[in-house]
Parts: sequence; C-alpha cells; structure tokens
Amino acid sequence: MNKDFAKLIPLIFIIFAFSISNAQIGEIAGPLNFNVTLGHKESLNWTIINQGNSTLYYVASLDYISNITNTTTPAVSIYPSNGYISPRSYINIRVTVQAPNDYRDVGKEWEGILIAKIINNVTYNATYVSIGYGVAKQFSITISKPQSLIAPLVVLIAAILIIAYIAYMIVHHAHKRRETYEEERYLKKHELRNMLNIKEPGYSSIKVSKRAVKGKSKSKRSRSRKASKRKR
Amino acid sequence: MTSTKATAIALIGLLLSTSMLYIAKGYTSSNQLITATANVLTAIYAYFANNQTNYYIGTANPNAINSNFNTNSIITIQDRGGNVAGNIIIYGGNWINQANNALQFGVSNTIYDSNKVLSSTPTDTGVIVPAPTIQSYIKSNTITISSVSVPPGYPAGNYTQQITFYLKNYTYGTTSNQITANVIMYVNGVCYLYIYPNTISFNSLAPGHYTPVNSLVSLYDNGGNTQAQIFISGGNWINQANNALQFGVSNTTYNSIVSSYGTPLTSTPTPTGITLAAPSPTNPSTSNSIYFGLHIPYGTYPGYYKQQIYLYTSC
Repeated sequence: MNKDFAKLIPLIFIIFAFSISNAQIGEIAGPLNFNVTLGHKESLNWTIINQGNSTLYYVASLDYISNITNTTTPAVSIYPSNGYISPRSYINIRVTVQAPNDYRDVGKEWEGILIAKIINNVTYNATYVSIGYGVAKQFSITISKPQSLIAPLVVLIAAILIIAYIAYMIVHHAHKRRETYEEERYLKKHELRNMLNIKEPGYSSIKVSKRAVKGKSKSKRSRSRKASKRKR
Repeated sequence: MTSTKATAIALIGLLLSTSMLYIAKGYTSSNQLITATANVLTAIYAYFANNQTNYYIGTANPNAINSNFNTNSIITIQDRGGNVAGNIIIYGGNWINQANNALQFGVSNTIYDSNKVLSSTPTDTGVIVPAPTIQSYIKSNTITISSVSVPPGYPAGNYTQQITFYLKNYTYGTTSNQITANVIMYVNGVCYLYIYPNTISFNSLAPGHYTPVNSLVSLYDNGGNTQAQIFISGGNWINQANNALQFGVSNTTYNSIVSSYGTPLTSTPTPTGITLAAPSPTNPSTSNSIYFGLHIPYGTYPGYYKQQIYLYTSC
C-alpha cells in the first residue's frame, strides 16, 4: 500500500467517524450455530454495535423459528431483550437455546431469525412511513444425542479388571518369592546341619520340605541297614 | 656426610637466604595488605516480564475506537540486574494484516496510557523503571495499550503491530537493549446499516390510488467490512386519530428499482434480495437503494395514517 495513503488513513477515519451524524447500527458477522445436547442448554453472544453519537434503545425478539412436524421446537430465550446501547459502544445479547428432551428430535435442525429493532418515535402530521432500522441474526439449532454411558462403563470395568489382575500378580509373585526363599533357606540350613552332623529339628512350616527331610533320613536308615547286613 | 644431610643443609641455606632477601627488600613477614579496586559501570537490562513477546489483546471492530482489551494490553517492562533507573522509550510500526501484509494502517491509531499516541520515532513515555538493587535486582513498570482505532473497511482477520521498548537514563546517558513486542488484535467481520431518510411522506391520496414504487430510502454501510443482506418488515397503516382504523401492511410495496409495482410488505422480517457490498479500505462506504409505493384501499376512512417499516442488516 502507498505510504502516503497509509498516512492519510487515520485522517480519513476521523472524518468518517464524525461524519456519521445519524445513528448507524451494526452487528458482528457470522450466524449463531447452536449444537445442543438433548435436554441441555447452550448460550451464544449476539453482538450489536451502536456507531452513532446518541444512545439507542433496542428491543430484541425471536422473529422466526422453523417448524418441524412431530418434534418439540427448542426454546430460545434472549437476555437482555431490551435496553440501551451507549454511543460508539456495543452490547452482547445472550441467546440461550434449551433443547427438547425427546429422542425423536436427535439430529433435527431448526433455523430461525432474531431481530433487534431500534425504537425511535417520529411525529409527523401526514400519511407517512416511519423507517426504522435494526439488525437481524440468522441462527441454526442442531440437537445431538447425549454421550453414551455404555462406552465409559465398559472402559471403567476394563480398568478395574486390569488393576485387579495387576494387584493379584504382585501379591502372587511376592508370595511365590517368599515361598522359594523359605525353601532355599531351609535346604541350605539342612545341608549345613548334615555337613556338621547336627540332629534335624522339626520344621513343620514347610510340609514339602519335611517330606523331603523324611525321605532323606529314610535313605540314611536304609544305608545303615545295608551296612549292617554286609557286616553280617 | 650422607646425601640426606647434605640436602637438609642445602634447604636450610635456601630458606635463610630467601628470608634475608625479604628483609632486605623491606617486607615484613606478617599482616600483608592487598587493596583491590573496581569501577562498577551503570547498566540497564530491559526484558519483558516472563520473556513474553507475543501479546494477543483481543478483538476490535472496523470504523471504531476499540478499547475493551484483555490483560495482555498491559505490557510489563523489567530491568533485570541493572543499577540505574530508566525512562521507558517506545516506538512502533504500522498495524499489518497477517494474511495480506500490504493491508496496513497507521502506527498512530494506537493510543497507550490513556492518551498518548504511538509514534514510529522513539518517544519518552514518562514512565520510569526504578533502579534495581542487590536485594531486589528486578524492577518493572507497565505500559497499557488503551485503544486502537481500526479504520473503515479493513477486512476481518488478525493484525499485528510491533512495538519496541528500551530504557534510558538521562543522568548517566545509559541506554538499555531494545525489546520488541508483537501486539496481535483480531478485527471482527462487521456490517453496519445507516438509512436516509427515516421518513417517507406519500402526501394526500384518494382511496383506490396507486403510488408508483419510487419513494427512495438509501441504505449505507459506512466502514464495515462484510457484505450484508437487507431484511424488511412492517406494520399496518394506523389512523393517527383513531388507532382502531387500519389498513393492511401489504398495501405498501417495495423494490430495489423504481417501478410501477413492487413486492407487498409483510409483518415478518423477509429478505429483500438487496445487499450491501462489503466496504474496503479503498472504498470504505457502500450503498444501495430501496423504493416504496403505496395503494390506498377503497373505503379507507379519511385522515392521517402512519406505518412503521423496519430495515435490518444481517451478516
């Protein structure tokens, strides 16, 4: 862009800003698209701009909403539905849509128009038309189904099962390790006693090991019996 | 004499000769004093708080002075580790459309600290960052972007302005490093509507009379940036002396051109098919026309009647 023109822009802007002696109203572009879950609410802002030098009084309303047979039309509310907009300022009107709670309405789409009129009283003694002005905002409402509870439930159960399995594995592994350790300790102890020829004390805590001990002592006895036979 | 004894004697001799040397040179063997000196220079080290360089300040409308910005519009300048106070010096560049760098508007559209106009040449803000100390080696102060005037017709999108800061101490002539912030603002798509005139008089008409569709109302978008559709609605004609005496809304007709007949007006807002083109920086105002006509039904009670018509912009 030409630099000289760029320098002139603020000047043009100031001339423009003050040349609008009468009220100019505007709105921020873009439709209001409501995607509401069945039985829930959603709110969006509708911004109205007063570009004039005087305060404006507005009245906002739902002008039109499409009618779909065998459905419950969503409720549309506007807040605040009337009020003042200061000069060179804007207001945000909160538009809230309450979705119906009927599964037949899932996937349905409504369209409508909101309007905000600027109210000014003109008195004129003739057959005349008073031209008012305002803004109109198109909107759409789509009803979506609530998120299924089954999927999160399945995930929850699976998570519980996995945690339970991990806990079981930890406990089982610890128990196994303890058993092995006890058995190894007993065997070492036993071998040591054998080496030192100390009489075996009862070791009742591990049955398998006790049997093993009995087996070993039996073989010792049979060995001594065989030796006595050989002597004879 | 053994070699060990000889070595010991040599060492003792060396020690004795060294101490004799020191005494001869005037040194004492205790309380040695070393005096160290250093000249600490003045310094200022400029930083943004949290080293933030991108500041998204919020949204703005075209052809408007925008001031409702978020907390990012408060820019904190720090001196980390310097030792003298510094005045904050500021300068900036144009606002540049991020999608099309050729679309720019002036640096002076930014107002900071309530009433100071940003300039492309370094300017003292009058805001001082105090001198840091050893106990508190970070000192700061803030500059607030108060408002930005977006000129008419500038298209919607993100705009960036680079603002550079540095600190200067006039007493010592010390200047800090320069730091640059990218200030980002989103310009909304907006359509405006201004109508002229806001009354139409059909004067005196006889029952059964058709007025051609030729009463002009001009529609303007001064400074918006988005194309708009025009909707229209109206009410019944109401006798001003007796509100119960009415005739139908549809007796008024409208068209985008002068014609014999037009579209009958309805009480619910209806698209007229008339649009207002999007203004642009080079064509900051766009306009269009709507013409009205009237039919007086037979048997209409005599007197002054009025009708309210609304024109709406929608984008």
